Amino acid sequence: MDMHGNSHPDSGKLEQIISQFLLKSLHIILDSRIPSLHPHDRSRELSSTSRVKKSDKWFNLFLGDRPAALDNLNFWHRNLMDPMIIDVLLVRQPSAPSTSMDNLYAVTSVETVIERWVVQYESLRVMPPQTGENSASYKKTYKKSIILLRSLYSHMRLLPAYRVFRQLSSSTQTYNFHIIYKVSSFCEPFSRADEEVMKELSFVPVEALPGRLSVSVTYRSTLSDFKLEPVTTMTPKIIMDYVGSPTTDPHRSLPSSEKGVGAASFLLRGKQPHVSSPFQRPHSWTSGFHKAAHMVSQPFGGSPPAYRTFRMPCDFPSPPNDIYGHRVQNYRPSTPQKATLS
Amino acid sequence: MNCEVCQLKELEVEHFEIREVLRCILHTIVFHRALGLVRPKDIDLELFNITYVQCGDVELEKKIEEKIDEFISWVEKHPNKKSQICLSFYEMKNKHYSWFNKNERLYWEQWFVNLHVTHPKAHSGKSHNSKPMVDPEETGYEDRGVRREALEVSLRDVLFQIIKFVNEKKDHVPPINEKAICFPCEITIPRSIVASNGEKGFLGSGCKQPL
Repeated sequence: MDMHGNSHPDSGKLEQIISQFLLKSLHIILDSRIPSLHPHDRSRELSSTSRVKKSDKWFNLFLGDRPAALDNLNFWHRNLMDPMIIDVLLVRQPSAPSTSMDNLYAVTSVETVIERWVVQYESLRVMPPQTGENSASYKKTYKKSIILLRSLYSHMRLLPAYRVFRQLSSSTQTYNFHIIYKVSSFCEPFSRADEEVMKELSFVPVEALPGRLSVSVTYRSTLSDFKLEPVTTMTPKIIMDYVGSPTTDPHRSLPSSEKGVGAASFLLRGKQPHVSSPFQRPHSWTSGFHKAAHMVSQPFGGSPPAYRTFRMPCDFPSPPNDIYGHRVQNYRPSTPQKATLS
Repeated sequence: MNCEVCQLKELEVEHFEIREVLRCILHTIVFHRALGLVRPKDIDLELFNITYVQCGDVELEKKIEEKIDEFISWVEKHPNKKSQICLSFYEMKNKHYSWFNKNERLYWEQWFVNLHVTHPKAHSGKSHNSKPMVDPEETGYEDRGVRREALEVSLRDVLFQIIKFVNEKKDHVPPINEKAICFPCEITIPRSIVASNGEKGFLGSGCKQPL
């Protein structure tokens, strides 16, 4: 992106740099963490024939097609002073349903934040002395931002979450985990237990007077506790010998085969069930069946929607409901002592 | 102009690991100094569980491979030595003298990659005591596994060291030339013989000293 010879005022250029910096950071982070953003493109190499759009040239780092989700960032992130908090979550798929009715509703997914990125333009409390070269300051900011984003890009590949991302991206296998993300300007603090297993890292901020651009991350130093395992899916099977069926109750007749069978078909997770005999048939249940069927009929291939909807009172115009996490105006997450990249 | 110098942590590597380790380190440095428009290329190392990034410039890739070949040839002639590869970034300055013009290289950054190339230890098959002997091959595999893991951790440390350095030191980086992908650079293989006890003797310096 050529920053020379632009007739816009400096403040306008700086604002552009800041907003594009947020976009680029988000792109870099999501591109190397969320498999579902590029479900058909497992290759990590960008083709040399890919057309480079003008918007891709920002910070001289061409990342390929921007995920559609990023297009909504401009709409959502109106106030450049708000931090952009990106949570990367590892979601454990619901386990195999239990035969016990009491455990029926215990089949829930478990979400764990494995990385929390905070990208923000922060105002400086104390202004550094003016050097008299204001007109060139945005150029320096831009150059330093390029370097910062290069190091962010490299760093993404060195953190533990990257291996999990690669494992989930590289195979047609379905796993018992998937990765989702949440973007907001608000976050709940980590629990003490979580903090103990997490490390913090900050990149050296880039001066962008009257503020500075900063990037930091809190991440789980190890993900070995999460046992990624392939999930075996069963093909849908018609259960003929369910309790109350004509095959088990001779006083009832089978419905016409043209109308289909009254038994439900659903997907099971986990290991292959035992081969059917009347005394060893796949599990089936009626109470709360529809709910159970709904819960287990989540698609296995690909990730579920990579976002959540939270309704919070706010003064912004509401973003599309299916985009990002909840946000609260003017909330700044606390910034505990962090290790800087020094 | 000040020249920033970064001495990278020394790595103990075996001969067959040199190429991968050097590719990883040199390309990582270059990626952070290739500030023109790049299409980053993620490369997975075969020997280690590490992914590094190349800037995607074919000429640079060729230059780095040539220098690695040169270094490997040098190591074969000087086995079991500590050595350095120097990657320097410079600007060309035109010095006007009264009777001739001279283009001079002004180095603004130098990186020293420190390697100690070792040979694997040979295991003796003889035992002089009465205790049952542990299978030397099995011990060898375990040792190599431990050593490989340690090297992977150290290599990762070096990559973090590079990222830390480029983040801390930005003021000395010259303005970006939009027509070039990367700042002009050179890779030099010092013709120094450094004994394992640390004594150095330079036969011909390939690295410039900081200005």
